Amino acid sequence: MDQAGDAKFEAFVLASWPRLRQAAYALTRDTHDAEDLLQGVLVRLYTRWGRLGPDDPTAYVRRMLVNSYIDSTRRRRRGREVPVAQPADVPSADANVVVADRDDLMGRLSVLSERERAMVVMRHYLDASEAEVARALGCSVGTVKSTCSRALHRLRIPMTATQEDQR
Amino acid sequence: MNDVHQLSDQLDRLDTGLPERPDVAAVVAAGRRRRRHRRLAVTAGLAVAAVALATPFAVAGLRTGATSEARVASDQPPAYVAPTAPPAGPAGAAFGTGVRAAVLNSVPDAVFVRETLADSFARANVDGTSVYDWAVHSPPTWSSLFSWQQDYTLPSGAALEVTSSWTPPVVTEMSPDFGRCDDGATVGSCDSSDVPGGRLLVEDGLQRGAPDKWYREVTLVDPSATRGMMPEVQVSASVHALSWEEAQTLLPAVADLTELAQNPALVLPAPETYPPFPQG
Repeated sequence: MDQAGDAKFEAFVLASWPRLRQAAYALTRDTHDAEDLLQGVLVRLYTRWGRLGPDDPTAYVRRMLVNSYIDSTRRRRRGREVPVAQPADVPSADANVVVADRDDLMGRLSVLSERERAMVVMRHYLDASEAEVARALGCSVGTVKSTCSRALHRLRIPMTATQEDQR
Repeated sequence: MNDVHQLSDQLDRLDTGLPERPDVAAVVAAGRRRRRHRRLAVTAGLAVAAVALATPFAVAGLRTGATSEARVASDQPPAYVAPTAPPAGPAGAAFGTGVRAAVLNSVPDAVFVRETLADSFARANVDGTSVYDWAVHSPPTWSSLFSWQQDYTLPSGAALEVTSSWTPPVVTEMSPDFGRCDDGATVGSCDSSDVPGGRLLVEDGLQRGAPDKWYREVTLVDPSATRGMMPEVQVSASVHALSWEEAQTLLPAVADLTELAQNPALVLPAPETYPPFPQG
């Protein structure tokens, strides 16, 4: 990569960092795992920087992030969590969702499977389209819709909000 | 603000414990190690001129050998046997000669241009970005030599880059998907397969930012690792062309590059110690 490419890469990473950092943490719920995930993704992004397609690299990096996360969870054999059917101590579905602290939000996210969490983060935090999420995770748009709706329901987020938010 | 936006807002405010700014220099350093692209690495302290003088004789001998082998190829075992273990280190000056022989065997019309070694890292500043760049002592410190790259040109105008290296013992680079195709990342085709010597990645594509520059690249990596490091061989050809159809006529054949990448002569002996990053 030439110097201009390095400079563009740095500018992109600096601009993307806040969202990528938060997304990685939301996915892994662990500082060190998030750090490892981001390091791997950014190194791979750098190696591909000169050869990405004409599209904004944002789409590529968020796809790499969720795919690397899914891969890492497969490798760990999901030893750290056991998803439950319903969170025990979260506000009701009718209440305004106010997450007071990090533990509460992390607790909510932990009830989701890795795949559900990846879809929610990619779709509703990284602002990927449903089609993009479907391509990244190798499923249909319908599966993305139904999985995200189910996941948001389990997070106690009203479905109407997601329907209005469809793009 | 609707509820989904509220979720997004909450995620924005999470205290992740991660730094406010990424360590771009470390990312660039690791990326460079993987891409084998560097602009400040020092040409090896080997006697390049002496190698150049010896080249005509070496080439003549090697081509003769290659021709002889070709005549009896059908009765011979495969041209190479994938190694079950990397060669014992450390590397020495003879390694480069072996690589050149292998290159000339698979791509006979390749013309050697230069070689660049790396046995250490040095801080460098590139457009205001502080990076760890590859460097080499003179003479090279063989015990920590982790990369050996040779550049060639072809009569077609294509450039050929052959790099034998070891990835650093960093856990994040030991991902099982190392050497797998990145779906959507390549403007062109990509194929990965497991072979006896490791994992083989074959890519064709168009280089971003250079709309007329096409590349064909074959990478062999052994994810089984040695002391946390992986040997990697990358054979990359590139050429300027108006179309992929034209580029294909100018680039070496996939079969030739694949054969070259799998030649055991290209597996660099493992460094005894991987060089540390400079401090401060």
